[in-house]
Amino acid sequence: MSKLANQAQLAVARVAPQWPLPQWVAVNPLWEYRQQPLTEVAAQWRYCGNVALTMSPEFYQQHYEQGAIEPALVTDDMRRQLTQLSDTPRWQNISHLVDRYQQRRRKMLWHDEVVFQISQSCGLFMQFPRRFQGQGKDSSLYQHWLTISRADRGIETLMDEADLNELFAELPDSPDALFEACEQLWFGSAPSAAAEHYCQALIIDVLGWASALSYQDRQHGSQWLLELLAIRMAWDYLLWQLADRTNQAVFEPIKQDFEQQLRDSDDAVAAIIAQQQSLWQWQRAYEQSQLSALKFKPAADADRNDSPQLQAVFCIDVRSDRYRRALAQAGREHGMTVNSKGFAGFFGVPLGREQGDQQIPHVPGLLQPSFFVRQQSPDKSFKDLLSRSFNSPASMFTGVEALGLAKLGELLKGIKGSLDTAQFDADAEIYHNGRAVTCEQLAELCAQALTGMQFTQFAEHVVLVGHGAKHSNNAQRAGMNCGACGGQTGALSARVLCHLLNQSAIRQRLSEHGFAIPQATQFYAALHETVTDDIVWLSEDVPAQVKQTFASASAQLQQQQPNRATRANHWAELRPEWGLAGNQALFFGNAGRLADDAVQGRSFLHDYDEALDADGSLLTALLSAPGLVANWINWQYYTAVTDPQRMGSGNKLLHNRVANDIGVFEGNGGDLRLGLAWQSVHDGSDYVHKPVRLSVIIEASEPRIHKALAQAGDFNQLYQNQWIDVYRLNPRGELCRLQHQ
Amino acid sequence: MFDWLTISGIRPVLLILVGVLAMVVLRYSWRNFRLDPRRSVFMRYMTLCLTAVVVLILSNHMLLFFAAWVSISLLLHQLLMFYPERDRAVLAAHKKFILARCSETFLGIALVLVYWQTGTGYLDAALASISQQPVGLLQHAAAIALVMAALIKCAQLPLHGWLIQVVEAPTPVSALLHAGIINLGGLLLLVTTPVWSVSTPAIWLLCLVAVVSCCLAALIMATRISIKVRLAWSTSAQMGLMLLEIGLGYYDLALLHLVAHSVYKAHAFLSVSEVAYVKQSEARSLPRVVVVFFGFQLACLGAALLLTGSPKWLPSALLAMVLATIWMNLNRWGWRLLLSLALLSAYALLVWAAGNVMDNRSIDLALELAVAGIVNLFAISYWLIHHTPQYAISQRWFISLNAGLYLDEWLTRFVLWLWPSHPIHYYQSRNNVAVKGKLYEQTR
Repeated sequence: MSKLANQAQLAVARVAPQWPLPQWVAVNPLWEYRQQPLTEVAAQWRYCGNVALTMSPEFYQQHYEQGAIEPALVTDDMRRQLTQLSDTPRWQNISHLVDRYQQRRRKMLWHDEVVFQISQSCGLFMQFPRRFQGQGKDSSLYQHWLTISRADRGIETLMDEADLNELFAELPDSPDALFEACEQLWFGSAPSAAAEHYCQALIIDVLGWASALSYQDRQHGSQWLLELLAIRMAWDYLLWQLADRTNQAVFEPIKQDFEQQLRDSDDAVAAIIAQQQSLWQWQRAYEQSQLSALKFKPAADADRNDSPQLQAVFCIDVRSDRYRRALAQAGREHGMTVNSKGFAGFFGVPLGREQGDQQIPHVPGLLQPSFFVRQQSPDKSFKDLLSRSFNSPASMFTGVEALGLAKLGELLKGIKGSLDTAQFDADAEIYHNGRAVTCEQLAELCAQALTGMQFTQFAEHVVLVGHGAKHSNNAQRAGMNCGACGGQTGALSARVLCHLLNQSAIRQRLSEHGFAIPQATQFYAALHETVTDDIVWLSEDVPAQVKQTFASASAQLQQQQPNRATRANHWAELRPEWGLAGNQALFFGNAGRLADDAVQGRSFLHDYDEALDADGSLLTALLSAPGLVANWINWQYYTAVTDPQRMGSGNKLLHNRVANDIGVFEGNGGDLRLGLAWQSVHDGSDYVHKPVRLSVIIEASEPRIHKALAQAGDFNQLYQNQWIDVYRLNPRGELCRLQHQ
Repeated sequence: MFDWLTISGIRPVLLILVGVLAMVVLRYSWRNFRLDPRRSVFMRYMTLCLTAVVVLILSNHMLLFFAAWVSISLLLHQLLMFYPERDRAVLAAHKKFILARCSETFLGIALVLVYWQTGTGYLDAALASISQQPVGLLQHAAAIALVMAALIKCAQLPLHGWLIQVVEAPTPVSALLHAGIINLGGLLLLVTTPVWSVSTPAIWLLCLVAVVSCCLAALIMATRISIKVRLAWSTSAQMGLMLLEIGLGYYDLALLHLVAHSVYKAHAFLSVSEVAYVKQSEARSLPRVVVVFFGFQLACLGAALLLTGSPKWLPSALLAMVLATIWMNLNRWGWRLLLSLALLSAYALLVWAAGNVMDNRSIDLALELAVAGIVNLFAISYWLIHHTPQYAISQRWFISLNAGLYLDEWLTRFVLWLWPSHPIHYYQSRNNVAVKGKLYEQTR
């Protein structure tokens, strides 16, 4: 294998996946860079793709002047350096260089057209698998692209380049041969860092498709991402030859520039690291200022209900924070002692739904479901049939004339918001490895979940509260649902676990596992609808007192923020709610430690009691699972704010679903878009999400934290390399940095 | 002054349609731009544009008609340029701008010629007087100019590219364009029938361009990868059919088509982000579909002959295509019958209703047979290309169709040469300055 092919392999391995729209969950787009210090990665991305991972100098300046950055955290040096930042060097792919040196003012720009053409080819490949993926996962994306490009008679015309088809015909027939050819052409004597930066720069050009194909490769074991990189490189190879063949006056400066940057690339990155240093100091000062709004009580004052009448388990999602506090308040008003817990919204049950030949996971992105619920695929309704008859060329003409008016009703009313409350019949079977599960397996599953949730006693009423967002007409709606349930609502998980825990056969076996659930205890399933803060009850026979307590919590929140029902039910609404915007901290501990005036809705709250975790293995598990999920969410929001163009999916008004919902375009074409939309982080006048890295706050002793960190490999890498920050909450209610060991 | 306005013929139907669309689209946009700093700008252009459409429908004077026609396009231009920092949006808007001026030139020529012949600027008087005159060269010229204006306005091949590319504009603009403005070509021909319907060259031009456009655009639509672009191609095809129906003299069908398509397309665009799992059509045996299709076609022809006294070649072919599709997609006899009956009765009822608004013209048999032949060819090639990927010819055609048959590239190149869409952007990128879109800049 050539050196370049080797670098290509490494580069594609560092692309984070992006899930298709129906399962669209938050991802840290830089997840595969966690072994590297953030400052280094930020400089590389700035150099290779002009991607920003900090805010602009003006942002920090402005926030400093407005007092949003505490003056005590800012040194004179920092202020001086902020005004002295100059433009940083930037890697130029050959398509960029051609655009720069060729006179193309009255022509289509190469770079634009290259991305467009690659994007359309990938879309075709994914939209029509039966036609273009004849060999399943072994089908070659590169071959597909080559066939289409060689047959194309349009690009020559469009770009006004007569030799293009000849050059397409001469392109190497496989990715390996192409890498070989490019290596000979460019990288004979170049330092290896240059090849690394080049591959990375090419990938960033088509990062949207790269991320989508990375997901496909991980699912099916295909090699499409590597082939995508080869396609992008083939375009550069081709443009190089085109310039060489047709215009030496253009070719000479391109050659000079490109060879120069092959030699300089390592130094350039080093220079950017040095220059960005002060920005990172400002970023840290900003983060610390933001964190000061999150206050904690001393341990002695913490709210603790030792024998509650009502226990409610919520997802750790930041939107649960406000509801949990309202519920505690409502409990006090209704004379009901309430204890709420935070746990990942799939409640520790790795479920999936089988529908026809589809498998829909209800677990966090890092896990695979192992227990399945089978469901009938929904009946083809009249509406579906209607839509299909309008979309097929054979039926659309008279079909529209005869039935087009049937859409009038919905056109006038709009599409109301919908919320998936899932179906689960009491006698439905659950499958594990294709076989119906035994009672013992289910009991083990329940025991695992209860251990995770640290149940030591059971109140009379225990409510499992999943969450989901009711709205419509949003391509990225899965992102508003429960990330721990794979972008679905938490309804199925809550229903299934409740059903199991209420069965006497399972309770009997659970007592062998050390969980004595009293006869009187009943579990109920509910769904927290996050747009309106309503509660949808999934269980029947919920006692009136429980319902009332929840209803009054909802009413309290709705009073603070009225008129939200329209947002849930209007099909033109682009901001039904703010999702996880604002997230800044993940707290492992007793949520009762939060001060009453602590900032709301910005923390993931996960219950953890050090006393119940004898060997510290639970804390390790928490850091390695919810810890990583929170990091993924945090970095998705963070990057969507630092660089909305490259790491966000742009304007929702222009969203255009692509290739069986693999993702969205913004407008007509261009690259597939990645990450959160502009409207998800910005309210038209300011950012709603504050770009801060996640602070993980742990209520435990110092040695315990160090031990858990040492064992939680990925999390520790994130911490060591400054992707997240870790604090210890001491008994006095102060946040302490960890001592280095 | 009231002479300048009229509400005769099909105008009440169109007014109601535009009223409903205006209400829906404005309400939608108001909510869509809820927190957008440029909400009022958007609403202003949207409202002005809709007002101009209403004026156009009501106008009875050539000057007013022309003025409204031009203002619609200029106001739409503002909406298409709503994000001037997006190169591709600007390119599409420029292309549309140039073609709109061409369409207006043809319209202007036609109106001047009609005025010259009749000596009056009032549409009703001019149309009444022209139908009493013998058909001369001038009228043929006027007829061809009208047809050209309509063909360009309705984005017929090969001047269709702008319609596909302006999906770069916010969704409500697409809804307004595809459900409202694009129909104006049809409106133009429907209100000026006395001018062009007596000119055989104009009719043949109209029908042949429309039928080819309609069939190719429909075939291309099914090869595209994004939802909005598919919808845009579908509009081009549907407009082709509407113009074809007008050209052949099925005015009732054309009117029905205009209304029903507007409702459907507005809905389709406004709900474009509603994620739903769409199953792909199954591969199937080509001979079987074709046999079923011909069977239905014969039945339709026979039934039409029996009920109306004429075989109605084009509607029968189109109806047979739907029935064949229903038949092949469902596998229960009950469902097949039920759905076919529902479709047929809805269709018959609506055609009857539309027939009450506008009478048909007698139909040129040779033309209709030619058109029906092409439509048959289209149906068979659709099933060949889209349902039998195993044939090499299917694969080759599919790839060419997906590229839009390379029809639009010349125009794009010409437009870029004439009117560069990246003046600022281009020079900044040459000087290696990072450019950020306006949308993002406002907030710093």
